[in-house]
Amino acid sequence: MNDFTVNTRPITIPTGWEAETLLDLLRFRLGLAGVRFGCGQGLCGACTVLLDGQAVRACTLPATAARGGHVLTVEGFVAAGGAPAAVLRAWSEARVAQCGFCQSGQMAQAAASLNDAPATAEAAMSTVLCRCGTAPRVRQALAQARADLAGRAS
Amino acid sequence: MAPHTSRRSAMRGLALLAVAPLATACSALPVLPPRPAPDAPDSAAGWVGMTPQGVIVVHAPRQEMGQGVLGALRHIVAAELDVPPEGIDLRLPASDAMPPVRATVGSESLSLFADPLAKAAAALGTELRRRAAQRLRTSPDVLRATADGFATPDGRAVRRADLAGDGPVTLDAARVREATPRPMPPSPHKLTALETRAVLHGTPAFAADLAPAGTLFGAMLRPPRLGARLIDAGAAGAATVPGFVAVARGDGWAGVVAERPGALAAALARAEPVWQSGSDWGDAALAAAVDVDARLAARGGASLPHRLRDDALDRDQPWDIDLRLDVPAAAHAAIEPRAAWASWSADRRRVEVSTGTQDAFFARAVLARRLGLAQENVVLRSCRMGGAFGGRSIPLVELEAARLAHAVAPRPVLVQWSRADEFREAFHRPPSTHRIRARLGPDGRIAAWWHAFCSGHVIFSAAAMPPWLQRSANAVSGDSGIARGAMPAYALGQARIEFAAVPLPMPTGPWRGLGAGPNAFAVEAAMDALAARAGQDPLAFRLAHLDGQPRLAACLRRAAAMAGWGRTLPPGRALGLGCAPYKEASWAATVAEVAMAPGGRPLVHGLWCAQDSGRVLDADRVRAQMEGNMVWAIGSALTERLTLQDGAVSAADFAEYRLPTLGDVPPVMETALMDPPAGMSFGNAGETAFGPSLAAIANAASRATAQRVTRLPIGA
Repeated sequence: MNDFTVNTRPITIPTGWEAETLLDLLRFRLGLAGVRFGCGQGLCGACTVLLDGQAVRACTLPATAARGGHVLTVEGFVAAGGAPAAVLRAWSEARVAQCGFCQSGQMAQAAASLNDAPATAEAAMSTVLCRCGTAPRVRQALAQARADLAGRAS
Repeated sequence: MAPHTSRRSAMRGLALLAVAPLATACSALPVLPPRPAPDAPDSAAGWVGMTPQGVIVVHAPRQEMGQGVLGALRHIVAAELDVPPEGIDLRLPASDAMPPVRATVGSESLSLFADPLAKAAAALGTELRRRAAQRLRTSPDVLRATADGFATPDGRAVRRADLAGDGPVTLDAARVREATPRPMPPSPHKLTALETRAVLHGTPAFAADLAPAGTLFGAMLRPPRLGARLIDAGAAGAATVPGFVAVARGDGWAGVVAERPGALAAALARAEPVWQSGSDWGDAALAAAVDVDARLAARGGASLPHRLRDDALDRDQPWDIDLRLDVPAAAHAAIEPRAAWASWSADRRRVEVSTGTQDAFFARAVLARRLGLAQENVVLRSCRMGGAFGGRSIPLVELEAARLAHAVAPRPVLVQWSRADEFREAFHRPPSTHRIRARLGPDGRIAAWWHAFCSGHVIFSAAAMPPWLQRSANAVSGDSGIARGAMPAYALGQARIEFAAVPLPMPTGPWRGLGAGPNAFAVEAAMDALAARAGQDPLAFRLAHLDGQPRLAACLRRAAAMAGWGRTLPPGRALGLGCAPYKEASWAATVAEVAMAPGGRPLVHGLWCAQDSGRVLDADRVRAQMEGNMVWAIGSALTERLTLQDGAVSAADFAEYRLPTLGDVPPVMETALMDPPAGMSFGNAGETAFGPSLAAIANAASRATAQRVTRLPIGA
């Protein structure tokens, strides 16, 4: 029986992994390395993924909490289209990434916020840390993605 | 002591010190980082080659931590060989694949390595062309490069894959020595496109991403206080946890290995280690240790051990300014915690370690010594780093992974530091205090300047050397990392610039820009105070002291113009300036606009930075470094401070150590890249703008409140 889907893939939580976090299941069992461990406390946002469209911190979420849901990670952004794909395009064009470690979390937060509450999306980005100091480019890319989505909608 | 210290001379001093102890080699002895010359032809010959299948392979002599150097290195080779950049197999340093290279530090990648790499690529190009000419029975000069080989003017072609013969094409030093690279072409737009695309799309790149299936998870037991000694691992409880695999123990350390990360956390929580002694320092002890005034007083107010300028000063006349400035310890706080995975051969004679490191060959040397192995039996494979900032210049997690994997050989073990480990086990920017006294002459210019400062160690880091060696090194040579940026670009008149280094229980070491940030904060605070005392505008006052520094003066003028220096602002809001050279190879000036929010918290409303990095390959990546440095400056100015409590670093998470967020970054942030004078070579970019930007924010806050900022972070 499937527990949940990740991108387009049906997932059953393997025996022994029921007590693990969603982050560790994704990274170390499902081979989705694009979601990253930064603090393990839900404070940096590097592990952010979308669960049923909402941004969640996979490092503090038990894998079992995703049961019945749909998880979207950066590996699935192109195929997902919409806000995730627009965010990925904008991030690439603005050359946001320096080291890039936190950027999958940044993009997941951006995609969720643009879907959910575009007006406050920029404020939501303050919950995802970047030590390289890419915040100015994050701001720029977010605006670009929002404009891109608005253009497509009209 | 020589008027100027450099890291190289300091390292030479250390090498001398190390000769005697090495004769009685034992695992407790320090290891020094290898420092091969970047332009040694026998090194460069090992960087470039071709596989039998015709693929150009580049073993990068530099590590990637977000500065974008891989894109630049790829471009250099592609341009030299006329091949598409995406066809090059570019690999990060692996200790079994290339000759040793020095650490990726000091923003010197292009200034030191661009030309040697171009030369090595040229040597490969010459060799391939020679082989192609032989195959096509023509002269090498008439051949033109195609995407996959060479062609004659009459259309006959040969593929690179057909030029390899039986094995890979490799170079020797003689060929590299004879090679003449062509002029490097102007910058294409996106040098980092390939690497960035991979990272953005989630391709495994960082150490923990690359751990193979079946990897076990390990962690060390951590002391409650710095320097505490492990008496008993108390790991019996850990063994009862489902998924527990092993406890590993050694002299003064113990760790746990488990099947899964969650099982590891549960097993660690069940361990009850017994620790003995350790530090009892709190913040007061830390502050007292680096108190420059106490140091001066202890030496009769006369002198500190290390002097960069030693002119005679009249100390009895009154000073026009007399400032005491305090800079706290700070964390690297890279978002990627340190991580390494190691696997041993079944006979436990050879270990392979994958990690993000600034110095793979230093890490190899340290592991070989600590593990009692020959260097060829330790293989270090570098991964992309999720930020480094100096924090990956000394190996820490690498040894832990190797020790824990030894217990379960041949299964690989991944050690990924927790965020608390990052704060409590790593080394940090040392705290420093500064006393600056200065006097104006009758012409309103600086006539006398006395900057005395005291800091924890930087280059002579306790993370890399035991206390006795720190003491010996310090006796032979000043820690040049502490001194970086303390020699101002300004004409100072008579000057005394001196410092003392103190050992601390909290390990300190290289941190972005080393001493340049703290020293720029201190020097630029003094310049603003002097300008006020002289009744001059801070910009005009600086320019009047920069006659011999046209490139810094040009940055200052540009930053001031961008910011609208001199414009009227509402009360409680002000502009501030900061500027500094970096390693005499780049120059930056920043203007900050700061307002005081209710409650006395400063808000940065705008930042304008002009930088001269010399010749650049990819202007956008230099601008990205400038932006990153400005954001770092916001952090250091507003929030970042590590404290000690009961012998341990207080902060354990990002709630207690607050990094700048998007909300702290002003909507107005402009960068200007200055055109260097004709013929200038590559300068540097990665650390230049930090000090000037930090100083600008502090000076703006001082002007906004009419009260000088003397401690960082502001308002702490």
